[in-house]
Amino acid sequence: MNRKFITVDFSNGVDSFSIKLYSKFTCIFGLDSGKGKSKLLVDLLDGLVDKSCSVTSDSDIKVRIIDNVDLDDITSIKERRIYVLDEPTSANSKDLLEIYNTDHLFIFICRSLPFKNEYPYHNIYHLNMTDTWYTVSEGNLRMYKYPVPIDTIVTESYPDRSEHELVSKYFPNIIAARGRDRVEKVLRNLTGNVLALVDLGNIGRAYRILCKRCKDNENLYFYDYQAFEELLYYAPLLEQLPPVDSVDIFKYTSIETYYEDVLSLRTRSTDFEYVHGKPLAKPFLERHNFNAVFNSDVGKLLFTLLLNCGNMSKAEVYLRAQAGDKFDLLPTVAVADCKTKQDCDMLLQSLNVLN
Amino acid sequence: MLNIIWGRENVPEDLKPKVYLASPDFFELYKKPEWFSDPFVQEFLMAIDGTEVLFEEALKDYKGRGISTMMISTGCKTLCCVYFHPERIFYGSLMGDNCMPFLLRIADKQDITLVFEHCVIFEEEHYVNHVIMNNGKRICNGDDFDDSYAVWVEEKNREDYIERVCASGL
Repeated sequence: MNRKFITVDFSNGVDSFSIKLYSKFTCIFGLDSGKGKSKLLVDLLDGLVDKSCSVTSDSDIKVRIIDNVDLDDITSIKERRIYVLDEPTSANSKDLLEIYNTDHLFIFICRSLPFKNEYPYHNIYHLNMTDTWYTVSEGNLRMYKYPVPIDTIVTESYPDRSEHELVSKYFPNIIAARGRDRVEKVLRNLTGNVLALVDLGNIGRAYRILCKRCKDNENLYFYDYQAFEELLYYAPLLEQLPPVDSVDIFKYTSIETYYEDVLSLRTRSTDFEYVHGKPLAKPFLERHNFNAVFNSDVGKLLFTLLLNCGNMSKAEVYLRAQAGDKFDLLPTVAVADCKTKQDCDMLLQSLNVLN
Repeated sequence: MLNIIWGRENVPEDLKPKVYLASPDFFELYKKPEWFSDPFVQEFLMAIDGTEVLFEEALKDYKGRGISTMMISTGCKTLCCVYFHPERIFYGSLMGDNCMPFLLRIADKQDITLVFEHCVIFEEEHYVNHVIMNNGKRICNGDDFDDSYAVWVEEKNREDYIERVCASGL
């Protein structure tokens, strides 16, 4: 997927590990104590002095390691930096708010971000000590992989809004959690194979509790997209509209808000206009645009799932497979009238739309 | 009894003077050599950090290297602070899940209050065998705990929340 990120490498000359930054805040998360989080910072500070360690990014943004929340160090620098800080949340709130409002990017070594800030799932790392250095591993949520069949889809949105409005057209058993912070309660008592459509771009403060839900239900899966708006933004349906390149994702504390803004800018004054909190524009909801909405890098797993496990008739699934991109040329009524393979083949031949 | 306060903005005014969120700083200022002769401290240092106490503040880490007490984990520093100063309110989010069994053993002997700002994981047996409270109510099981966390974490008005946090003075 075409996601922007900055890579930061931490090396001691013998080994190294890398962290990808997808937005303003990244969290080196500590499930347990004694795993080396604070020691990492000490090793880095000592290593940078005697030049045995290096911390570099693949952008032109400098990386700085600091061992306490020193306001002057951070707020006086206007040029964007990447700061690595240990346990910033034990510092005073007003100090934290000042640094939070700067243009810098932060890698926090902690269990919670200041002000319940959001950060993406892909910005969560678990740290482990090795004999020679450290390694990091990514978050623990179970990502959906086809061909796991799904019994229930849970969306974070309200009913008939956003992803619930769209996906309910193609999947019969779908529950709207009515808010991101309510998803975990809906997931608590669900059994069977469950797919959660939640904005992983904003999962930060819910991460641990969703890990608990994954532990309780081994058949709970999460869809790997930063936000529903990311899926819409990369939909082939919008490929005729010029992309929005001028917005800096790293200025956003919330990736969801970033995608809402760029989607809104891109679709403004068009038939596809997106307005946060309002129903989706009609073209997204039209059944014959199923391919054009879902068949992208972001949506392809959902595309395959809905195609094969959703509420489409066997005839429609067959026609989509045979016609490919030309499926949109088939009249909706004619598709609905097809009951057998013979009906489908006759329709395809009559319109000369076979692959 | 362990009393959990979700979020520094919810610390009652009369308790604010007792709050010390930066437990590593408190540890550095107030630690005493005799703390490390305590068998309970020695037990959790070994269990959490793999650190052995040799003599007072002379320690040996999990690799056999000599270290000072300043090099123990933040979680162990916080546990020491809570254990020897239960009258204070420290920051629970500096402790990992592996500190919780020890925290609950401290809470069995004396009432302690901590501020948490992350979803700590307790085992179901912890709710049964120990007294964990939030907002004046006992938390009896994992669902109760998740509900209490969910109430705090849900955000209706972010600007108002940030204002309350800054106004807390913590």
